[in-house]
Parts: sequence; C-alpha cells; structure tokens
Amino acid sequence: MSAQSRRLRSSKQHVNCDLELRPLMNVFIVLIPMLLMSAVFIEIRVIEMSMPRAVDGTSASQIQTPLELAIRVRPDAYLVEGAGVVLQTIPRVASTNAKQPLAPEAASALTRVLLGVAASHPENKDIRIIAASDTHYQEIVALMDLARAAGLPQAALEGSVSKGV
Amino acid sequence: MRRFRGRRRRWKTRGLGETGLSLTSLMDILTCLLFFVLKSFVAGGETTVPPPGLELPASTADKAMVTSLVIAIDQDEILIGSEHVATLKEAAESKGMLIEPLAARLAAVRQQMDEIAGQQAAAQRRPRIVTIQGDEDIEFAVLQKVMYTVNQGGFDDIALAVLKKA
Repeated sequence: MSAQSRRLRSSKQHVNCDLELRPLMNVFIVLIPMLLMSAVFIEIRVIEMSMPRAVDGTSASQIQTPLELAIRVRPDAYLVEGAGVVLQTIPRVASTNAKQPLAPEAASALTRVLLGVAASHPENKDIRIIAASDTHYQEIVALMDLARAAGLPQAALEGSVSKGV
Repeated sequence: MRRFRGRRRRWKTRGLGETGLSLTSLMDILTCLLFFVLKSFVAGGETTVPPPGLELPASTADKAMVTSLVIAIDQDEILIGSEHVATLKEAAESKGMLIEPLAARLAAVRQQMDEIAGQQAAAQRRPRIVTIQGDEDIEFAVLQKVMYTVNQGGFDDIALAVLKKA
C-alpha cells in the first residue's frame, strides 16, 4: 500500500466525537428564564398573631389570661410582669448595632427571665407585649422572637395607655 | 514550493472538524446558573415582594406566607397591594383608632371577597387573612391603628410579614 492511499484512508475515517450539546442547551435556555421568574430571592415569613387589645379597662379585663404575663416597654426599661410573677426590671439600653434593635445584655437578661417564667408555668403559652406608641416595629418583632425562643409562642400586642408609660 | 503547498493542504484538512461553535464553556455557565436558580425556586408556596423602599424587620419566625390580602406600611403611606390608601400623616391625625380611608377600602375588598365566597362551595372558603408588611422603622402607634382597622373590617386573622434571619 502506498503512502498516498494510506493518507487518504485515514482522512476518510475521521469521526466527529464532540457531544451534541445544542438540544440540551435549548432546554436550559427555556428552563432558566422560567425558574428565574418563579425564584424567590428574599425569604419572607410571617408571624401569626392575636389582635391588639382595646386600651380601655372594661374590654381588657374580659380577655385576661390567668397568668397575664406581659413585657411592658418603657423608655428606660423592660418590665416583665404577671399575676404571681415577681416583677423584673431590665434596663433598656440603646443598641450599638443597627441590625439588632435590642442590646445584647438586655436580650440575654430578657431571655433568662422569660425562660424562668416559662419553666415555672409550663401550661402558659401566652404573652402580651405592651408597647409605647413610639416603639419601633423592629423592636417589637425582636421581643416576639425572644418570647418564642423562650417557649411563649402566642404573642399579643397591646398599646400602653399613655405614651412611654 | 511543493513542500509549502503540501503544508497548506494539511492545514486545511485539519481545520475541517473545528468549524462548529464550542458550547462547552457556555454549558458550564448555564449548569451553574440552573443549580443556583433551582436552589431559590419555591414550588407551591405564596410569594410576595415588598414595595420598593420598604424594609421588613428581620425575625426568626419560620411560618410560610399564605394567600391573603397584603397591606404595606412604608415610611410615608399605607398601601393595599400596590394601591395607595392613606398617608401616615392621615393615619396619625385620625382622631380615634380607626383609619377611615383604610376602613372604606377594606369594606370594598371584603364585599368582593364575600361575593366570590358566595359562589364557592363551603369547603373551598378560606378564612379572611390580612398580611401586614410594615417597615422596620414605623412606630407602634401606626401599626396598632392599622391592626385595629383591619379587625373592625371583619378580617379573621393577621399575619406580620418579616424577613427570615440568615
């Protein structure tokens, strides 16, 4: 066999061994916009909760729970109060971190107190957060988080009668 | 000269199989993108996007959102869906706890919901839920008035929308 004919045969036997990716790519191009449209990049959750209580004395007395556990937000302190619960006062220190509405010391002290109350009254799952009218929403949500973590998931919101009291 | 021609012929035959597009690198990009998008894909659950400029408070709550009427409270106004209902100034200046423009809009929405519910079977009826998307910096006084107005509007439950903490 001559060298020329051998060369001709080798060029005829050339096989294209690349993968045929175009159909797969077409599928991807359809799939990615579809998924992008239904993707959620911000995870939103909800806190289900009770309605705010009326601030007048008559309606408040009708919906009292036996323990009446509450966190009262005052300008200088958080008060943890309830029937048969020793009043606890936790200083309300301004947080240095904008992302954390509660100062770490106040958060840990509140957690400790709430855990103690939840342990001594395991049947109680309710807590009221009595906020002043100028209390920021983020701070209320942080208080609800602390209560939930301490085993008091049923939080209710209530407005204090006068501002800052 | 003959040697030069021979080289050119060889170069031509070698180049024949490489004329197609090389899609491998593009495929790599698309595969990475597909996995990333699949990770953030939510099947089934209700999704919503807060209005621009509204920053939800961060929370450890883990309950998923359900289909409901959405009231957004940002720094300036109160919206139902994307429709302006009242300004925060109007809400703050309202005499009692009721915010009149919001109450009127809620009454109209509730009437629509009742009409739809009347056409549905009893088993398909859903409780009337309102989800409140409040900016993290709003004051409790505004939130309390909105919640009171929602309660007076005959809605059964309230859910507060929050951002899941990482």
